[in-house]
Amino acid sequence: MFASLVQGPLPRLVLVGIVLVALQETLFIDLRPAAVTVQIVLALAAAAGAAAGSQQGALAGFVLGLMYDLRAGTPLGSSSLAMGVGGFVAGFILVRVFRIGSSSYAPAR
Amino acid sequence: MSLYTPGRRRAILLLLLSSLLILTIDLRGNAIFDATRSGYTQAMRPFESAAEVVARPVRNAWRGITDYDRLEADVQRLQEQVQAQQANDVVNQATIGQYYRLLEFFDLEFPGSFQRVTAYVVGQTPNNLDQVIEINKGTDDGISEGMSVIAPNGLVGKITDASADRAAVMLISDINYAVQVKVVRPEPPPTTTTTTTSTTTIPGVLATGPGATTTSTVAGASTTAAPTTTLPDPQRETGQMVGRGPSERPDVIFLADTPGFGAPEVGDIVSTAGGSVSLAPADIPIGVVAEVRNVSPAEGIIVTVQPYANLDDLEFVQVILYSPQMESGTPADGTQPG
Repeated sequence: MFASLVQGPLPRLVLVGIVLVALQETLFIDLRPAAVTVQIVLALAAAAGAAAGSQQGALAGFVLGLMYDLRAGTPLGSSSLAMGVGGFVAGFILVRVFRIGSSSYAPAR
Repeated sequence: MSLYTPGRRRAILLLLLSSLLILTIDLRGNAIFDATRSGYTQAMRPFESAAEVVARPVRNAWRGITDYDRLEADVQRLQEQVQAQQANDVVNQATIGQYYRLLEFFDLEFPGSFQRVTAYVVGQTPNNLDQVIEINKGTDDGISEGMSVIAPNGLVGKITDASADRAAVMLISDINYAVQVKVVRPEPPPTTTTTTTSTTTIPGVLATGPGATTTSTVAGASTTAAPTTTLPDPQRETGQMVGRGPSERPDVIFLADTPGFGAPEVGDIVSTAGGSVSLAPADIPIGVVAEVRNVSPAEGIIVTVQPYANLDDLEFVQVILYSPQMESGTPADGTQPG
């Protein structure tokens, strides 16, 4: 079980998430095209949903949201809720609206 | 395979409910969450430092692209300000020069007439009680106890102990420091206003009024329309400035109640009063009035001074080679009158 957890996508997601949260808190605070803050962490959650399906997208959004909340000082759970929904919707739209199967984009296990 | 099996739906629902649960617990306040957040922030610090290094050139480039017009306008505005300041500086230098020449002409002392020794601060305040610094010049350079020490922008303190190549400087924030000061209201440049007034005068008597109003007189008791010239009266109030320890601003106490001056106000200028018993020559700027407190009728008004000199960040100072008459008779043990 531990081996599957370590070898699964979650540790990789956390590592990528750490880098992106750090960039979100440094670079993207100032880079505001048209006065809009680019949410790259949310973009990663949506990308995970689009690539691996809505369930994986929701899980990725939940984890990334927790990491973001812990760093940004926002109420814990608020971003994980929003990003979880974002990841789920991204996967849902890709499969239901654009009829693109999620299995071909699923990361190797 | 169905995309949304009951198992998947349950998992997604579980995530949503977990988020809401965590949110609720955190909003109610939870020590474990707070500790986790603190630890996570600490753990993220190296990553953010690295991200900052990577992001800085990108950010600078972005700012260069998006804020170029504003930067150009800022540079233009600052250049104009510098030019205006330089013009003001020239005028001020000329005015100060005239003022000192005038003082010299009337054989009056002024701070610039004394020799100065520039020294480097080699030791900072050793403890939280004594506000004393050490400088790298001493008696070999003519420094002796009681001499005033200044920074480029104002009074710093006085020499309390001097050896051949070292001297101790008691800062103005030290609780044992005291110096006679004057509180002067900054006056705008003198302006001459001409008004038409009807004044009845007696021959040979100069009519004067409040505010040094000089009225022209006309021979003969008559009612005339004469121009009046109003000049600002230089007003000041003297008192004793005492230190109050570290992180506290000095106070001015024993303020003379001068009706013509009125109560000191925030923004008034505080400088040394000079005189035969003062530790410092006259007119060394100290700071501005930051606060005026009316403690009690017996104590009168107490004025808190915001020093011009930054006492926490002294690097180079100047010692004015001026020994007050009061200090001339100081015994060799180095005791300094408060």
